[in-house]
Amino acid sequence: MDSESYDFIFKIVLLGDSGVGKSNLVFRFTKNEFNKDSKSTIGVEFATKTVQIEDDKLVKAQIWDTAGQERYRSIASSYYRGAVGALLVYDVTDRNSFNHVPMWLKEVEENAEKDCLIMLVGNKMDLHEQRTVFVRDGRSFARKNGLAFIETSALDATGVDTAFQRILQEIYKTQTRKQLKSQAGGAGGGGGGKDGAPGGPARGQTISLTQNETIENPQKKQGCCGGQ
Amino acid sequence: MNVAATLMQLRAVAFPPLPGGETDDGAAAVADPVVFPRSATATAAVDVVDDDVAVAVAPRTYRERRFDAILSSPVASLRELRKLAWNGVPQHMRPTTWKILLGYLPANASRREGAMRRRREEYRDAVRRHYDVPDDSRTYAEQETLRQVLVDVPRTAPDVPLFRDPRVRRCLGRLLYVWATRHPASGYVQGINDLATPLLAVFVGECLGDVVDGDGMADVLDGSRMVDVTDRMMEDVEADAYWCLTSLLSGIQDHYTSDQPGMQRMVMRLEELVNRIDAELASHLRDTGIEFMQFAFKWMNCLLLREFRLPCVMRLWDAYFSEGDGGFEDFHVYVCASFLVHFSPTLRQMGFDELFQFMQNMPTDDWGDREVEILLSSAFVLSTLFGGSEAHLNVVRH
Repeated sequence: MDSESYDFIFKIVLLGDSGVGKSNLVFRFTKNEFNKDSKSTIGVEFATKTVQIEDDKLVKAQIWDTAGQERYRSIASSYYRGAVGALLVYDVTDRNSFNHVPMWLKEVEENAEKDCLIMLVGNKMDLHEQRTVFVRDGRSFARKNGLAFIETSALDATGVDTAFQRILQEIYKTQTRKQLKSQAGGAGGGGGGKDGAPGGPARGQTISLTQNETIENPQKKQGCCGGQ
Repeated sequence: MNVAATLMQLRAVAFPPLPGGETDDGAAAVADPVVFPRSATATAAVDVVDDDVAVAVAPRTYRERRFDAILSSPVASLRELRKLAWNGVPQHMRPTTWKILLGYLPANASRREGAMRRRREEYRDAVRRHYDVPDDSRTYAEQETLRQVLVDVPRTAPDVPLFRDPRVRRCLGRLLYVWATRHPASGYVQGINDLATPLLAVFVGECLGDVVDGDGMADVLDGSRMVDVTDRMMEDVEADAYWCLTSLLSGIQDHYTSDQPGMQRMVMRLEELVNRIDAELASHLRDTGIEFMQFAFKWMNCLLLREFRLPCVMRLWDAYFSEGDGGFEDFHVYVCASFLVHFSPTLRQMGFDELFQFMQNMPTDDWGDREVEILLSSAFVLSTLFGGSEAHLNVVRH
């Protein structure tokens, strides 16, 4: 299972207040299970899953699930380094966790890669009755800050695969574009840079996550499900 | 010197079947002459006393009688108690032994009853002042603490039925909150909830009296005996757990203060130690790019509670409490090093991803006292070889 082949490996971090369901999002995505007896995350937890995108590309997601409590913030932020994707999670039944989103956003912008794609995730959407943060709240914050947005339920699996698939796809696009640009002064055929594009990353090649090639205007995509 | 080899050897020879039906003293005498100068350690860790053979009349083992003798003497000898407890405390003697080792109960037997009554009353008073107050009289920080505690209580040892009991959960929440409000420099930090669980379990067991022997702890942990525990008893359990937790944490306070300097120090020490005792493993870990902080932070923060089942933790803590103040600070680092090195052959075969996932879920489900005792022995050897605690580590630190 661990020796599988893949075309790319992308580091994704999860962050957000304690108890919003970060670990269960990872659990749902990587194992398709929900653990109602999960313990609080101390430090960081790590998981991987390889998925297929763009018909034939295998992408390995290296997921770093960080602790949410305030006291751990400085250690947690050290895990953002090298991340090209971040899921910033809040709980739709907990207004406080949504109010803290700007603080988390700042943390990730300061510590992750410059072109790190950020997706705002409103979790626990199955708890209709207790909802205090509405879709429009999340969507409008995401739009204002150039983030992708989605609501999920780790419990009933709604939106979870979509969230990870979408962010991996966007990372793939951003990173291949970046790679093409950095290679041989733009030989590649037509902007898409899809299959077989000359100069595209070869199979098995890992996109280095620490390279500092700059790409002007790293595109932050507008919403997934919420972005219309 | 090849420490790794010494440890391997120790693992192989530490627990041969001992000749005859000897006592603890006998067991201590056969200890490997090279490695066990301090107290009656390591080999004695396996209690070789055979109930049926050695004590036909008294229903107690020799070891239990020694505990009895110390605990019931007018003034318990702490030195003796530590020596004995290092090798494991019989289940039903654990509550009193832990309380004395942690300084919650006085060594002087005649003062214990009164001291305990006062502390319990003091705790009840603290609950009235800090916990039983209207929410709007709490500061913002206190509200945050309460919120965090309430989020974590249901997530504390959720796999152990005892901690799904509503009364136990209420006790846990209350004592964590009261501790946090009375220790603002640290406040409540996730992981402290884990540290309260062995204490609560042992003291709930105490309410059930001598019945809790042998498999008794299993009955306590599965929650089936909670019907026999009255609310009044639970109040005392809570107070005792609070004071013992307070005592435990007072020795490692900077593990939980801002930026957790104590934690960083422990992880650094662990790395230095592993560099010295298993250079091959250390270099493999470096090659894969995994950092000690990434896996050992949790070992320090939760004192291996996330790595072991509760009965194993209790056995581990018998030794930690016996070590006095240094148990959770110094000795714990040696235990972690032994723990890591124990899996060295496996770990050295793994790449980054596999390593990371393996280490956040170490395969200890089938571990019992015996495995913990082997770990303690190795740790003891290390602590002896490396001069106790600080000294040797300072040499390599710049």
